[in-house]
Amino acid sequence: MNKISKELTAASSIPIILSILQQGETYGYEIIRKVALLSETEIQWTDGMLYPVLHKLEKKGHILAEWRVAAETGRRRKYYRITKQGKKQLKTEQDQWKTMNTLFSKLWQTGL
Amino acid sequence: MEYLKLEERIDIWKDSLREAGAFSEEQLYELEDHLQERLNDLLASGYTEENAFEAATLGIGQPMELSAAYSINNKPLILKQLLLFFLLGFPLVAFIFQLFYFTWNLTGIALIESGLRGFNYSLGMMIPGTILDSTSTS
Repeated sequence: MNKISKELTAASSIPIILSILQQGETYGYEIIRKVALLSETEIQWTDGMLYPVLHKLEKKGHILAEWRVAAETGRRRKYYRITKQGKKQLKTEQDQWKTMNTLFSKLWQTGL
Repeated sequence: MEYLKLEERIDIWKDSLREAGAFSEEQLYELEDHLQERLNDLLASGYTEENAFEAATLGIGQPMELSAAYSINNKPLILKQLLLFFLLGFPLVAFIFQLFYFTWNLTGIALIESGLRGFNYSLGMMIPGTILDSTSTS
């Protein structure tokens, strides 16, 4: 399987992040690790590029962030969690991606 | 090549990000924490410190690339830095220029004076009685 293009990765980053955060509070490095695991490393973000997206979502009120000391490292870490507004946004994103998915399924099944 | 400790490498990397601009200290800390996590994983999987650092910094992104991505969100921060420059930096630069100008003027006047004295002396040597200095008239 080919690696996912940068453009498609960028376009899907918001629903991916919101979907991961819907499963529970987490932090940047863990999000990257989950995406790499689930996509079997086919989706590869430049790690640092995740944070501007997280900060943008935070600014929009889709997610909330909180600094806490991580028990395992003793260092401060920024944890993110989804808000009600973020869940609504995720629903919208899901509907849009489902529409695209249906469209491609029809196109490729009928061979049009 | 000089061997640097991992902490020193991280500090240099963080400084290069700081120089690239567009990051708040909090954002730098978040990136550093991410780098530390990646380094821990790579070291645990058998990487040497040097290779782990190279792979981790490559994975996190080039400073200029990151700076460009962060600056989109951080426009107010950049505007604040610009405003701070105009409020503090610009007067400071203006003061340095004035100081330079003042020193230059003093030096310039001293040069002109010594030049005039020299010319006066030469004239006096050629044509006795033409030295303009009041002390020589007595």
